[in-house]
Amino acid sequence: MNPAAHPGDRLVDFVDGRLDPASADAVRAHLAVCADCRAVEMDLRAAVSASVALRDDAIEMPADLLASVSRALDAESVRAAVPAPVARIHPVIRALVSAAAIAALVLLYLQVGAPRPASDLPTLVARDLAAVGSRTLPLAVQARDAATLERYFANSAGPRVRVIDLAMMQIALEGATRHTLAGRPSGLYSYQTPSGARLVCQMYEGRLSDLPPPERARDQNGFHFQIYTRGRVTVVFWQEGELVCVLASELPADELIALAVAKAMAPA
Amino acid sequence: MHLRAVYNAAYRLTRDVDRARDLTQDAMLRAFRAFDTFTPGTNARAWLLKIVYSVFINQYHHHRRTPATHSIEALEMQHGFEPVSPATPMPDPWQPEGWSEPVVREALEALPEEFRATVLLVDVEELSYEEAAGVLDCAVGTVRSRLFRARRLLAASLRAYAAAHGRLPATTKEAP
Repeated sequence: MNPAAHPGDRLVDFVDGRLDPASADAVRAHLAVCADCRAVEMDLRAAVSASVALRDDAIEMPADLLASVSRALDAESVRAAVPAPVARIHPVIRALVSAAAIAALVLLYLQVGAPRPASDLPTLVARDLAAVGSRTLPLAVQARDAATLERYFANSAGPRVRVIDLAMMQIALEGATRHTLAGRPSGLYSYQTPSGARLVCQMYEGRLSDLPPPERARDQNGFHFQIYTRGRVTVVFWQEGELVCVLASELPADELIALAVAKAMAPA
Repeated sequence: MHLRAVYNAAYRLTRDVDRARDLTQDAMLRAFRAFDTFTPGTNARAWLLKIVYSVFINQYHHHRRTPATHSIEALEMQHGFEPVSPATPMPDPWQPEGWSEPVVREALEALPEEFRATVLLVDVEELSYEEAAGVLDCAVGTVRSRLFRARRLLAASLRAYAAAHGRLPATTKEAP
């Protein structure tokens, strides 16, 4: 840049540190001799300083906004997952899809990776893992012992769910809730590892054949495990009688698969 | 969480709790439907803000609810835009008596929409020029040009406010 020339709107680049060193030096040289441009530069900097004050402004988000956005997304999710005539005939289906499951929306989608169909069960499970972590999917009961959580499931409507105890692996139960996966009632409970990693287990009535083709599969101890990756989350499904069981976590995939293999159990 | 970022952006745009709530909900629904347009690894916040601004602008064009603002040229003419002397200092915004949020907001709201949006995206939401250009669907050069004019007007408005409230430091003439 010719130091004699007024930089004009390139002053914005200068103020924002976007110029290469040679161009910045040229602007500095110009400013040293041009009072008008120095005044403009000062104004630009003052405006930035003033706007910065808005970055931390205390905008109070309406307390019920999350819930209302969740409801809207919930309805949208059901519309996408359920054929329209069914949705019209059975409006109660809408109520089966927990608002909280959808609540964290885009953030959660981003955590689970590439877009999938709205009814992609591995994606929904991975999203639930993130929703539990962000507390947008609250746990109805919080307890660290399997017996308490099994009592909760026994006393609430939905499929009979067994709670897998991972205490021997230093993985502590956190709590449980009734939930839905693409309209299927499920039982959901979560764990935390000592390092803070979270695992979520869900069980629902269904068949492994409802799932999309897995990225990996493993047959062990008489069980067939279907393994999916959604973003950073590994999702492992297997069948126990009428129930499909699924574990999801950001733990290393092999660790999670090993847990599933160790804990899969044929129904009594 | 991104919902808060979306609501904050919506509120800064609309300055109205109900409209911000509607805008947030519309934007989140749009994001939900358009998730396949998001490229993993890119700035998720910028992607969401693009949706917020797009919905806002569509609403504006559809409902014409946004209060009218003067053209940028009229505002520049109003402020004269004779560059002030560097010896006419501005109040230091970092001092305790620096700019309060309502004062800055009022000055920002006087800007035409596309100029206000550019300042909000770059100076408040901290997007890069390139990201802001993506949100506003314009060239990076347009972002630069809008920032230049908008920041100057903002400074002029703040100076006028400071003068009206006796907050400008005493002027000292530069030594010849």
